[in-house]
Amino acid sequence: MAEPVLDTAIDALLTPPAFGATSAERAAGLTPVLEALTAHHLARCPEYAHVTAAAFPGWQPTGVAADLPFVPIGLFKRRDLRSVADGEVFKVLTSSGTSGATVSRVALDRTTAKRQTRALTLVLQHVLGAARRPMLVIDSEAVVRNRSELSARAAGVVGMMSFGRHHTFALDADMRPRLEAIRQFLSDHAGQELLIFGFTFMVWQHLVNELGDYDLDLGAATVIHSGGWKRLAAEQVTNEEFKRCLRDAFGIERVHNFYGMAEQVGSVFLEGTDGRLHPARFADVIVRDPDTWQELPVGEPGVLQVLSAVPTSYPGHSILTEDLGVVDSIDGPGSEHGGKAFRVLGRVPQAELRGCSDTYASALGR
Amino acid sequence: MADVERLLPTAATVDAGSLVAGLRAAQRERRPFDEEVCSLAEAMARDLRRPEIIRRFPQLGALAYWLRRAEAERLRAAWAAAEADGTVLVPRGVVFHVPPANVDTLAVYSWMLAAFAGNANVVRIAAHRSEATEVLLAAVGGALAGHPGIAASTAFVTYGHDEDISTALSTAEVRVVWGGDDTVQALRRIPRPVRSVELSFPDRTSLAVLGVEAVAALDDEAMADLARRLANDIVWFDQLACSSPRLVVWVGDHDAAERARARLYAAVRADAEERGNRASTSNRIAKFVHAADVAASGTVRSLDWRSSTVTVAELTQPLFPRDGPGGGLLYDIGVASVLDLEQVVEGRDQTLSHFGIDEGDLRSLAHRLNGRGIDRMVPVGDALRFDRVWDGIDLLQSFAKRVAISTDRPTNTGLLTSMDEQATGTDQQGDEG
Repeated sequence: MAEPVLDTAIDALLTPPAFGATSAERAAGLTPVLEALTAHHLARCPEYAHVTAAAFPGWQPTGVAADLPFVPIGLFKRRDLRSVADGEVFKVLTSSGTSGATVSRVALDRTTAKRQTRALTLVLQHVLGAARRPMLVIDSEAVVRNRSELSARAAGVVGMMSFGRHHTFALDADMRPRLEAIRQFLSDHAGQELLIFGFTFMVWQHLVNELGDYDLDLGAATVIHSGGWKRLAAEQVTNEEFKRCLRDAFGIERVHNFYGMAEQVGSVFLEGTDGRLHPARFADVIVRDPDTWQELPVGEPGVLQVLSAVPTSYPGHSILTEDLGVVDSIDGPGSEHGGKAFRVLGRVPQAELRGCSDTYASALGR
Repeated sequence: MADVERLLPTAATVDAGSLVAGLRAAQRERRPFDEEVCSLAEAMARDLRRPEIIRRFPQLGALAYWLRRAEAERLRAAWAAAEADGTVLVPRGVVFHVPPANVDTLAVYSWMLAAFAGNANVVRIAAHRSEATEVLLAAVGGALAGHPGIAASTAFVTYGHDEDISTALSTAEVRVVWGGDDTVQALRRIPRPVRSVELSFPDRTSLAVLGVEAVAALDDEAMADLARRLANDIVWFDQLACSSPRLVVWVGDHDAAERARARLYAAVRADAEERGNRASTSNRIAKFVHAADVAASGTVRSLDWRSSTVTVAELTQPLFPRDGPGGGLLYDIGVASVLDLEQVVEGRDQTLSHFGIDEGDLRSLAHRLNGRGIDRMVPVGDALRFDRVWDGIDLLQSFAKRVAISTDRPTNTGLLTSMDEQATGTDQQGDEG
């Protein structure tokens, strides 16, 4: 695929609808683009070409997504992989890892950054609609105001804020609930559709646990949360329990988790009403057997590989994560999304900790 | 005052300074290679030789073998030989051992060599203890119970990074610090008495060298045997011990090496599979990341990351990244001659395990390296075997002091008459010591 053709093909994938196509339709659109992206990065990123030549010798496009080469996510912590000239890089995303750990570095040019925003918008508009809603952030304004050291968690909050308006922060600088501000927010925007965003553990800790007894009616809100389930799993809180508490305490019916990572910003996997995560049609997920590294069938848990048509400035279109997951169905009956429905089962045990909610230093989508 | 938790001979919280003083008093009764210390070693050997222990922790089996009476006799003979020529070897006093957390058996090797030499000992055990360490401590405790003289002159203690305790224990006559580098540096900052000595063993790394012709000539059975020995060297201590090979160097014809390496690694993996030594998923990924990082420089010809046991990355340049994650990651390179290892070896490299290489070539390599790296060359399979000479230091002799005894006087002169003669006299003394 020649470069202008590839650009057109990527942009075609980044148009509505993000969901709904069957897996066959998705593969027909996505796999050739991912193969062309592999060739694109092989030609432009020497480090990526060297790794691929050593680890996937003689790779040729086969028309099958599972045959694509991939990069282990940890390599982004060790190498600043770029497929554009340094002058084209307008922003280097750094992210994640527990405090003191090395961070990933992801080089963005304007095209990739624009597509990240486009991709995230497509996914979120699927549940939020096109209008920007009044937004309650389950975090402290202090976290985002300190621009000199914008943590990955702050970057995540700022990224989400563009999907709302009239932002109100639910917590003060000491992470205590701002009850009066929240009541004011609700009366100011009575009768309107609302957006609530927070990292999963923050929503649980500060919204459910600390504000659950104040008779707040948040039934007009859609909750979007992300950041990983580790802390909640430690407290034995399941996704069902999480959603039941939001419904019982606040009347919230619409709750959507999303899964994504700094190495593939924008390309997030959204939770549907079925409680499963779904790739948009510009993305895909493959579950691999850690013994053979072959793709596993539906129902068998393994290591997640994430694929995305978004990154052209760095070779992050096919990444082997350090997360475990399982595909529950493909083109399941009555699925509003089509394609794969999957769950993330947590980190590969003993791998370096990257969970954000543990350290208050998180990445968007971690 | 600094309180420290003593694990053995009995569990108690004790003052670290008083502990050293008590050990020093008890040391007066100790004699090198006396019956009690040899009997203690034998008791531990018997305990650790049980099949259920050796099956789970092969490194404890090797320790048990080393603790046999025959091995003690061999050490005693080495001690006696060193005493010839007008010297008597005597203990130094109290020895403070800081063994590494990841190589559990070193605590006992270090302690027993010092105990054989007649010293009292305090051994610091890390707070985070492996299962093997617990088994080991049980064996030590059991043996100490039957040997009151040694028990009185021995303490196994545990504490975190507490400078006060380390300072109190550093009043010992000898401090032995086994790496990592950070531990060595941290303890070096802690003062010790002027007449005390320190032995430190910082982080080291190791490699293996194989003769292509010799490996290629092996039949399947002999290949399996070589593979088992190489696998042993890799598997013990998760490939994170100083002596664990991290690079395999093939000496000989390139094409023949290709065939030989394919056969050997297939056999190594088959052996690991058979013994159930499969890498964890996170370790497999960590090895992939490490080797991919090296590959990004363009110096890896092939990276066999799919293996569930041993991952092999074939290098095109003799650049050998030594900070691997362990658990079975081998870098691999071919060279034309043994002397080409000069391009590979660094100062921190310790053990060269070898197979199919002439002793003459190994000696030539040692001369060529001229002291830059490699303190030890052993057959493949023996990389992790403990030896009293470690990192070029004879531990047994380092735990002793030489008393020089001279009865002859030079015949032609009664008095030293010039500075020159004084200087000569000093040199001669120096040579003997």
